[in-house]
Amino acid sequence: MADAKDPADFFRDMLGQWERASNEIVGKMLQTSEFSRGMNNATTVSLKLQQAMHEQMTRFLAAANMPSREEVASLGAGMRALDERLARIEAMLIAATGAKPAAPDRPRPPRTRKPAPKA
Amino acid sequence: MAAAPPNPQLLEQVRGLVDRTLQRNIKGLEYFASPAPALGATPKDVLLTRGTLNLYHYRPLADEIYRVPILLVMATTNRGYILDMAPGQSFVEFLLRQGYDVFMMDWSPPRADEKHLRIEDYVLDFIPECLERVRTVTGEPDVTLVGYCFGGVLSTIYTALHADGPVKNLVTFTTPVDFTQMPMFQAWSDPRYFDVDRLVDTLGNVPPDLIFASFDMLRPAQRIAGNIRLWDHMWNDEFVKSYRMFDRWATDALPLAGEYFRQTTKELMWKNGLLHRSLQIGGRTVDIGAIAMPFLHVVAEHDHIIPYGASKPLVQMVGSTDKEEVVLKGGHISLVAGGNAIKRLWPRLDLWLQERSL
Repeated sequence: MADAKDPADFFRDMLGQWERASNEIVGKMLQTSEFSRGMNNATTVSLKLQQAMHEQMTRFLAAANMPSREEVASLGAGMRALDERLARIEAMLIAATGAKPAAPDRPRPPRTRKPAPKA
Repeated sequence: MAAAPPNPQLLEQVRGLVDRTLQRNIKGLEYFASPAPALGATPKDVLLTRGTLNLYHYRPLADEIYRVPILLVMATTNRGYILDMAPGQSFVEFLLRQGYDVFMMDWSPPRADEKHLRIEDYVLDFIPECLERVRTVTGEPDVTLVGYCFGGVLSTIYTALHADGPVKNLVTFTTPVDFTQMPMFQAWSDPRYFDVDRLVDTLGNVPPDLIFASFDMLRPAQRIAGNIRLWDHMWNDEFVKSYRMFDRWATDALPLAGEYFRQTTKELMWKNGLLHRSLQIGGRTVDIGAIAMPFLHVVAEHDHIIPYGASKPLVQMVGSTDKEEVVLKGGHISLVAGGNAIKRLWPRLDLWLQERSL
């Protein structure tokens, strides 16, 4: 909280007013369909460029006999899928045998709490 | 002629200004040299990690706890530590101290192979699996589901489709249902110009920079003014600490799974499927009127991300007889974290939950 005697308070007020006015004016501009069209056109151009770069790089990696990012990611995904399948098998075993899932051995408070009586 | 004696008030002001200027320089150096504050540090166990999904169980801080556990569902756009900031400023820690057993569904960045995830995966797979884990761990059949922002949308869809499920109470914070009332997002996703198919088909998952930029553009001058205020308050350790916590969280946006983003854009932003009861999930129509359990919706008066108009119809649409909407002062983030939340939301929620957690 600003000190009431602080001479810099004037500038703080000005900053607050500038922020509110700018948010409102620029915000209205950002809501116009012209801005939306411009922003989305720019995004489309950028996406097309990315796509072209991606295709070039994939061809280059294939020529160099190196795996692409997708191929490495797909290997990782395969490993994680195995992990998840194991976790599901473990959960099914727990459910089938009625065993409790592994949980840290910590004291468990009783679930008997009641709201404090109203004053 | 003798010089007039110095004005003591003016002297005090000048002294204060010089002192703060010195402090700003010293602490400014510390700011850049010190590490970011540790957040999300309330002790917890990770019960489940499945791709983008993490389920945490926080360790109790009370000797006696309420029977019904709480499962928090975080928004898919941001990290869950907004609900667990520093000690003394953590919503999770508050709930634990008030005697609740707290779990949280938090999100990691979806992997490249998770680009196919849809709302169905979150609502018909992730939430039911976490609820089942909570019930197994606690041995309790009932759970209170608490969703923040889009976590509230997912929780609402889930409970609408599972009205007879294990959810005893539903609480949502700043949860939109009328997407036409979000003018900025509507303008940017205008179907005449926004090619969501090209975006998702090219990128797979939607990058966090895009998510962060869209939130940042909602208040275009906020960042500049925020930096000036940071410099102005650099002498104030509490202000700097709070600024760093919130700034770190705000810039730590998550990517969104591509199909989930495509579906959200088409079904919610364009067709407004929740409000019109036309959203189909797993072959079933989502009718919010089917929700019958006790329901609380807390909204922020000055929410610039989810304006009140977007979340207002929710409480009217819900079919529960025990339902309530609470409008609190504050914004989208200050509603759940920071000084405003400590004073307003947290005690209000505790009061609502106590009787319904027995």
